[in-house]
Amino acid sequence: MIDLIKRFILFVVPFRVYVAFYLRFRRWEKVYLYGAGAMGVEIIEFLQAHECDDFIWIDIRANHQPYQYWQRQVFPTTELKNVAKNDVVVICSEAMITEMLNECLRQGVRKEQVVVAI
Amino acid sequence: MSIKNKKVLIAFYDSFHTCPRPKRLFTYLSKHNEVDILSKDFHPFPEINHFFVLKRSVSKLMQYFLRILVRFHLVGIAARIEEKRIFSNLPPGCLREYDYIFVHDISLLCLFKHCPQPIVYDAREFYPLMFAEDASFRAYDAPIYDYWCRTLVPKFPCKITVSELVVKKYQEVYGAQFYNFPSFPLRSFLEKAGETGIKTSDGCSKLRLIYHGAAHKDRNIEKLIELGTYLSPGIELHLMLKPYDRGYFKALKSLVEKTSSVTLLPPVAFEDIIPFIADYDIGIHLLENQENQHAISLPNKFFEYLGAGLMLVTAGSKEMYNYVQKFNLGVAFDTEVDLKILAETINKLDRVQVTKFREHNKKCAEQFVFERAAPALFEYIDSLRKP
Repeated sequence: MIDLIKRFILFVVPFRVYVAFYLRFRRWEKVYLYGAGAMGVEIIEFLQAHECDDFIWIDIRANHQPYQYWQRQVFPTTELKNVAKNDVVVICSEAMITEMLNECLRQGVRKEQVVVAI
Repeated sequence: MSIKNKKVLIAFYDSFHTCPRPKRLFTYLSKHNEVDILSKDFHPFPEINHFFVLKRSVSKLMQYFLRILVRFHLVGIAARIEEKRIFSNLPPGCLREYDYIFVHDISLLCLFKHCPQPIVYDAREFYPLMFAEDASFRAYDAPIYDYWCRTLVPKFPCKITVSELVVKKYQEVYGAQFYNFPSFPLRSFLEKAGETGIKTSDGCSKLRLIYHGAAHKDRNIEKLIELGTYLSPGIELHLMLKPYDRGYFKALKSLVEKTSSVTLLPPVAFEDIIPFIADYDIGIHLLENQENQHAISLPNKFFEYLGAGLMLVTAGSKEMYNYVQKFNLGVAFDTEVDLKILAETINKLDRVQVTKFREHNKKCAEQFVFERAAPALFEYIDSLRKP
């Protein structure tokens, strides 16, 4: 049922709005936003405009690309090792979902902890 | 005429490192001007004032809604929604600071429609036919582009594009006047090829053909691989492909593995293309699909082959055919051609003929360089800017 509701919400609203809701209503968890490509940037822009700052941003290019526009540190994917039981990882990409999900699993994150755009 | 000590903005919806036409303009202008970039990169470049642009995603429901709007001929509303999706961190009012603004994508024109400064719109494509073989493009994107060509493009008096046939097409369909400014390479790239010394395969008994470009379905690269199988054992075909469409690239890779005459090469940096391909004898371009705009456009690779001093073998591109015929640059077919006939034509070529073409093309390349064409372009732009 929850999965069905999730799918319905994702059908109706863009992923960035879904993530913003997620951050608002799941404050007791640490949220990791994984991805600093077009979708990642779109989500970060939206969250900053709506004063949702309670997340950790990670990306594979963190060590060699400065993301200075958002005054926010981007952590490397090794940060995924620190994901605790009650944390969630939001994959901010559509094109690379499989690769990014595999990376999460490789770093010890459970599949149930991962939120994707589909 | 050239421009100096001006402030210029170059805007395009692509990555700076992978988009040759705006990058070429940047390299040329930044020597004597202050050039800022608006691109789809999300990190600043050293010593370049950079702004980013992105297209916001929409929900599935909105995607259906937009398609329904277009289906019921409410293209104007869908186009307005599409315009609202474009987002950039350009500070409001900053456009007044620029002496020249170059916009390289039709989808970005909406950001500049109220700009008081004169805009140079560089149409890299004939947008309504960009991916015309794709049903989804024809159903949704093409009507939007058509709408923008009719309503948005006329607001910008200074328009340039890539080939004579694209100029004609815009004139025929929309009555719009475009200036033809082909994608000539920078002279420095040609000199780089000269410096490294053209390692002609004269010593080598095999004739070597090269094709380079993005692995995109509409390029029909599988046909090139098939062509490779018809070539005689004394001829090799090398493909230097950028994996644009990963699935398609994978399929091509497995096709290549099954043949012995075709080799797949990793791509090189944009500025290294000409020096790299100068090792080859023949540059090949094969176009099967005549529906989309590739038949009338003139891609970078044509002048890159020429700049590297390669003999040209082209089929299916009308604009390339015109050039090859006019300047005697090699062998060309103006429409799609049977692969076996094309292979037969290539098989008949001998080293003496190829070397003759190569020497001729190397000399010809000098007239197709950016620096030579740019003064006339800026003269044209300034003639439209004057009140």
